[in-house]
Amino acid sequence: MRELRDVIHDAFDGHARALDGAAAGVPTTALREIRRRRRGRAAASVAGAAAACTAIAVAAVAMPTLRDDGGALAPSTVAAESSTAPSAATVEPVVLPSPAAGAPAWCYLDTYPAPNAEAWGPAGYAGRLYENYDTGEAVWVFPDGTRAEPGDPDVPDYVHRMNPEHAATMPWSHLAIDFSTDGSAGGTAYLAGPEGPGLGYEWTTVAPESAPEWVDPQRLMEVHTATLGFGGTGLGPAVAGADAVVETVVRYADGTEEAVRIGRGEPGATIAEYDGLVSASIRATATDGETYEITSHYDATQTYEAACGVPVPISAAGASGGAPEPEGFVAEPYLEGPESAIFRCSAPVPAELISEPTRLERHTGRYFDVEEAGIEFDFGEGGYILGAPEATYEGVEWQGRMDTGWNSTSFERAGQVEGNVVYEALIWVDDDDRIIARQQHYTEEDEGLVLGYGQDDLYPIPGTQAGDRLWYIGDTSHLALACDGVDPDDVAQAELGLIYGYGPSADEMTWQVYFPERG
Amino acid sequence: MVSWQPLVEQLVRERGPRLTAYAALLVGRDGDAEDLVHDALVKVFSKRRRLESVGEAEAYVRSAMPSIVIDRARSAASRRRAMDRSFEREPARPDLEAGLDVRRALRELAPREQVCVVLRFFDDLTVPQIADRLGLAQGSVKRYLYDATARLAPLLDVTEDWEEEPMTIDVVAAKGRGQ
Repeated sequence: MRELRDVIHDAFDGHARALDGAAAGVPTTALREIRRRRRGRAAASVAGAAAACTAIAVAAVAMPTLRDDGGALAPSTVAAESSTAPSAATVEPVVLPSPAAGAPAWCYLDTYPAPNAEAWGPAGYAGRLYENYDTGEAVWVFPDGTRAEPGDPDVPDYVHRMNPEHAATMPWSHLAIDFSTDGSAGGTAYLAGPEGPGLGYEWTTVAPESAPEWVDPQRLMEVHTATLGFGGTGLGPAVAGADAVVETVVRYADGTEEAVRIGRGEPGATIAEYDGLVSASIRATATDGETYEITSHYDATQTYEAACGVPVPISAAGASGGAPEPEGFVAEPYLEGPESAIFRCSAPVPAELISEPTRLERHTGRYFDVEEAGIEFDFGEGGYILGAPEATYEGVEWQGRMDTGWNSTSFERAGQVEGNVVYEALIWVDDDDRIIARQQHYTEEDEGLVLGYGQDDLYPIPGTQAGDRLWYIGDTSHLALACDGVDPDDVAQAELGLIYGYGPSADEMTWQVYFPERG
Repeated sequence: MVSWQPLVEQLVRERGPRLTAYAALLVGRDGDAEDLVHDALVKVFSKRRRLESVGEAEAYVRSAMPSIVIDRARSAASRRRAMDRSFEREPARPDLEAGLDVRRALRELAPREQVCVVLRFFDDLTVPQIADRLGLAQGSVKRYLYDATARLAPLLDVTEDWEEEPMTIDVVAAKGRGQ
């Protein structure tokens, strides 16, 4: 009698050989899904947890230009090439479509069409700001299609143009930013992906007339708008409390229902399959089981392609999805910027700055669901979730490109600018708390700890509006760069630490150093 | 770091049959196995991890599959959806004959039992390792394995006996994070 082990191995070998002749290429759906997820994570890090304008990132966009008299140009070819947007050099021109006869007015994309306000339900749709960061143009469109310029008396006070320096850091250069009546906003690239121009006429949203006290329907809807193809804000405790489970629920004509839990800091989930789609909802469930659900009904006849009789124009780069991975970025070393006044290679960490984290969890294993992030991390042989206090300051604007390890956040809430400057860097210390190694880059893109390509072992978790700043820290040993004169073997035995500072400016920082192994 | 898309394409081109055959042990049908490979590719490559070689990528994708199967089993809706997708696939891919008797026998098991059997008898993981991977109690893993081997023994004409410690250590690659 044979062993089960042998039988299974034989079956595997025979099956693999039989499959060998029929090897297929990578499913296009897999590549598309991977791109979408990677873009989504990049967008989350760009916008930051505190950002009220959480963009769903796409790379290639085009936008019609405006005549001198304010009227619309005829359908035109627009190249989204930009001297400021990192990805723009690869973007193909987009030919604006010519809608079929009798098509609705919103099909004419050169007229700055207004999106469908009925898609927005309790979010309260205020209007859309079209921005072209290449030309500096901006057009505000009210829900009824009336156009104006930002700053006009009729335009809500909370409508502000994005800082062009901030825009220059994004992998796209043209945005359509939709505003809710509470002043929050979500941006989508215009005409860049299979979602089309993001006008939302295929959606009609319905919400219950009354809502439990623990849920804010307007904020909940602002999370949900991302599912509908608009920009969306990240889920925070203000939406439905800290303990509620919030899910995107997608229903199909055959009765199938899919529910995807939304992580803290994440917008509503993306719909993977539109065939047979009936509705997409956002559902909040309290700990006692009480639920509140906002439902957006889907009408496939009112998508851009169906209603306008023309395919959505997608540039080649947009269709293939996402910003190209940058090449040739040379990062400067850590501990050589303004932080070097306090932290230097071969110098001890100031004892008074060694702090206890507000949260510390140690995990092992290849995959672990981090609920706050809504994504999975690899803790390997041992990693940490580490929390620390963070504060933002009124009047602090985004600082532009800073030294290695430094970054800044700025956002607007009800017209008030708020933000902070943050420094993050890993260090390795010896038994005397002397810094013997500092973080090095192996990424090609990023100058700080904000998510960069390949920088997956150290990840600031989005969704920090609740107070703490959280990091996932995995296996970071490959980031250690030995200080001059230090034996690399000593670094392998050194203790990992995290330098963290925040403040209104680089000159006014509150500093802490955390050593997760010390608990 | 190797750019992710060429690595995905190389992985599927060179190791696709092995990945599909492994997935088929976990889910039973070739069509469902392709779905599982798809989902595992998405899961692994959506994360910006350092993968230096196609061998390392294969190990990661394979190691992602069992937890996906377990997660699916936890969600009846997802399971129905996966079935819908398999029915919708045109043309439907028939199961290949090679090793089909074993895959049919494995399909007789509950999803958790099936995954535990593959991890134990194909990947040669220990009971504690399986429990750790799947987030299950060791006692549960042992029960699944005893029940599963009892059902498989007459179907495949194999011995019911199995050792709690593996004979070899195999398959799940070390982290390989550029150290």
